Amino acid sequence: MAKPQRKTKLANPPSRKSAPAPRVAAASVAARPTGSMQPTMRGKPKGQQKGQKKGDGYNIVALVLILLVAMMAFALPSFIILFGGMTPTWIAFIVDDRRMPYRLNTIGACNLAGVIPFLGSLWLSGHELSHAFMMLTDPIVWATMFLGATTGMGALWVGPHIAAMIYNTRAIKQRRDIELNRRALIEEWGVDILPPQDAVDKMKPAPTS
Amino acid sequence: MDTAEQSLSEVIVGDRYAIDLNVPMSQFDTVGASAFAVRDILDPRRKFYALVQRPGSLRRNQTVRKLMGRTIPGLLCPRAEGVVAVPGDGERLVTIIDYPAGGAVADDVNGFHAISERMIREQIAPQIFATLASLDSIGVSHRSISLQNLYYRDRQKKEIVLGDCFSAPPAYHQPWGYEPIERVLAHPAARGEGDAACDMYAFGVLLMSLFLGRDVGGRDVGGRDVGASGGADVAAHVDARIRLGSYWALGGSNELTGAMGDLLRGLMDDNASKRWMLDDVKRWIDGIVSRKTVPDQGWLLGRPTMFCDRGMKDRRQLAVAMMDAPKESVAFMRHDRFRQWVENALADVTSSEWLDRALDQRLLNNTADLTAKEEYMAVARLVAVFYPEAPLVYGSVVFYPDGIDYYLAMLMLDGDVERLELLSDFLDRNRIDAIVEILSGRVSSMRGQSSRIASLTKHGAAPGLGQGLERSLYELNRSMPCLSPKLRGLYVTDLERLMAALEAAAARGDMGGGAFDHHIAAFMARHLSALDPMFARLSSLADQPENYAIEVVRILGTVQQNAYPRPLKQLAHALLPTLKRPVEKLKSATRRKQAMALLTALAEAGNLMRIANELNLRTLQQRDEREFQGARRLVSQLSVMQRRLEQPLDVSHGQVRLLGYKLAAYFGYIAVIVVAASLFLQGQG
Repeated sequence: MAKPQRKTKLANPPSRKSAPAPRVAAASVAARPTGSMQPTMRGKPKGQQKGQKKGDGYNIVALVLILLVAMMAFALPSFIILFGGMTPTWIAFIVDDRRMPYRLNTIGACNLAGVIPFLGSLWLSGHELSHAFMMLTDPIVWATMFLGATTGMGALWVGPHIAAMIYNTRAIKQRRDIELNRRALIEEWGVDILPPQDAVDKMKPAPTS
Repeated sequence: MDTAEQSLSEVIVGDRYAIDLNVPMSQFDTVGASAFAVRDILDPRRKFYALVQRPGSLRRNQTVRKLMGRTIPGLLCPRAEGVVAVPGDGERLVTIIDYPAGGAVADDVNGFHAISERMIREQIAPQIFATLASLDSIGVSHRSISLQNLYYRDRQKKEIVLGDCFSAPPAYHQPWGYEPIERVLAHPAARGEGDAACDMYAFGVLLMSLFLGRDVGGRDVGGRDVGASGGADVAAHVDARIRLGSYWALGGSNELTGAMGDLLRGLMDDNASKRWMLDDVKRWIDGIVSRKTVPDQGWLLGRPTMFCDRGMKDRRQLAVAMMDAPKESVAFMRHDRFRQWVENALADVTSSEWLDRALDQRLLNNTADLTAKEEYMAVARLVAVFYPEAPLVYGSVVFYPDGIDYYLAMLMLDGDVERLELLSDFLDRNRIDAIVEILSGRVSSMRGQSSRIASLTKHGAAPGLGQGLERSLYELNRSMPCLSPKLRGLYVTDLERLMAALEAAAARGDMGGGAFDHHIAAFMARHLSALDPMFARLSSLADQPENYAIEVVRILGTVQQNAYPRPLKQLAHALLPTLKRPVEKLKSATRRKQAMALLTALAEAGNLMRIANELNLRTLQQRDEREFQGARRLVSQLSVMQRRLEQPLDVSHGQVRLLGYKLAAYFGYIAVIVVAASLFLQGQG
């Protein structure tokens, strides 16, 4: 005869409270940079990603060349201002390391921001070739357009510092969360739960800032 | 004495008998009970005395049951009984007995007026005969017939009565001379219930004492007073009775002739089958003298021998001598010519094959020194072979199977650890079975004792709680109160009272050392056989304190379910510290707290079975350990994460640079949009 099953009230202890799992903290930490210099491209095999990237680069070059040729044919004054004013970008385009795509974007965008006012002035004054050449003789115009590119360079220098600051600030918060979880676990399970090296200074709280 | 003092010293039994504890009546004291005066509240003219039983001592309960309320003119019968609280001594069993108003027949047993043959024939013998016939008709043997226990019921000293025969082990107070030879050899508490033949023998010695005017049974062969027990002289006493016959050894030079001589010789015959019984006495009273023709017991050895420098002609004599000299006995049985001698000496009663089995050929051929226990066993075999009517002998343990219950109780009461160990050793199935095999079919006293011996071997030598000699004690004595020291002062005869007593002990804080001891466990197992496997499991858990504690609660819970349907809060609370110990070892604080709360709540409810069932410690511990390991891994992972987070990131870090450049690019896009939008707005304006 089968034995009657006993009631085991305590057979199912409160697992949520007894072993709090710091999932949020763990996920956050997992998202923290691991030190690799390569940005991760997801969704495609590695070889395919490389070929795709190379193809994209050629497409952009081809697109730019088509645009330039088209401009040369149909909007020569604008082409002259753009070609001259965007010189830093063309140089960056030639010398830039393609593994850091945002560098060229930054320089190009900032350079363009410095060129756009003069393109506007050209279009407002009738889009004359003479006016374009006259602009190119003005050093203030060159200075303004190149200042845009320089601003871009500055942004590229400041950007990583700001990023580091953001990451470190987030790390402090994550460490605080982990410490809270760790303390909750120790409180629940006692100091025996600590690895041997931690048990020595078990009472010493981990730095939170 | 004022009323208040009197009420303190007076206890009432059966709403009728007031026992005055300030008036002891030591002349009626026995080894099992103390006597006190009694006042009959309903009928003050009737006289009684009370026997207040000593804790742990055995009363002859079967005998009491048969005699209670019965009117046997020649016997002091029990009239009432009850358990009363004696101030300072706790609960005691009290028996109310008829009081012999005429006092003892012989105030001084060493010297009193001899009673004439006519008086004995017409007055005394018929009265005692009638009493013994009444007892025989209800299957009771008195076993305390002696001059010291003979009284006059009435003040006119006409009616003779035999005194109390149930408050002490049978024949415990019998002086040696009043016991048949074989029964004298046993420990006074182990002389056994005996049979009518024992009473008839004592009757003969009593009549001889009355006739001669001196207590012949209370003296040794040299005329010294021996009382009921003695030292080494018992061997000399028995030896003399074997050599001369009890009639001549006790009667001395008094040659009794005529009818009186016939009666005494018939009653005091050492051969129980030749001894006069009631119908023989009846015939004698009627003037007819019986002559019994029975086969010879074969006590005389076919060939006499020398043992310990003494000539031995009687096998009983040899056996008694061997009991006192184990080493010499072993040397004797290893002698070259022993085997040949014994086959010739016992030729009429034994066969060669039987002797091979009985004497353990292995021991005979072994030349190495024997251990003490092997020597005891060798002597036990020899005594059983030579004198099967003798008690069972194993070292200093000498008992009759029908007296083992009283003997066991007495040894426990005396705390005689040495003898208890010997007894436990003897009860090993191999040993006791060997002796029973030797005795079976050869001695009538072994008949009907097989169940007792089976009970003894089943439990007596078994280890663990609920077994052992304690269990044998309770198995053999169904109405025996629990003798646990934890229950001192309480008269506990059933499980309901036991649980109530444990509850009371817990309330007093007397539960030190756990709920059980060997007595309580044996008592429980005796009254509830379902506990046997539980106690066996408990014994196997001795090295696992946590599970042991739960098993204890489960056993108590089972008893509570079966015998005490009330809450046992105090007991549960007393067991809490033991139960909390394993709970305190749980690693999870939450689980610990919950288990503690559950325990406390269950203890408050007082249901021990629920505690045992709902606190599944083993599952809890397994789950706790498993989750602890999981949590430990998690903490290790957190530590690794923490160490990683402790290292600050700088701009050289790839991902930092990537994010930084992305931010810069967004800045550039915003700049383009802002400039273009402002130019567009300017153009519009």
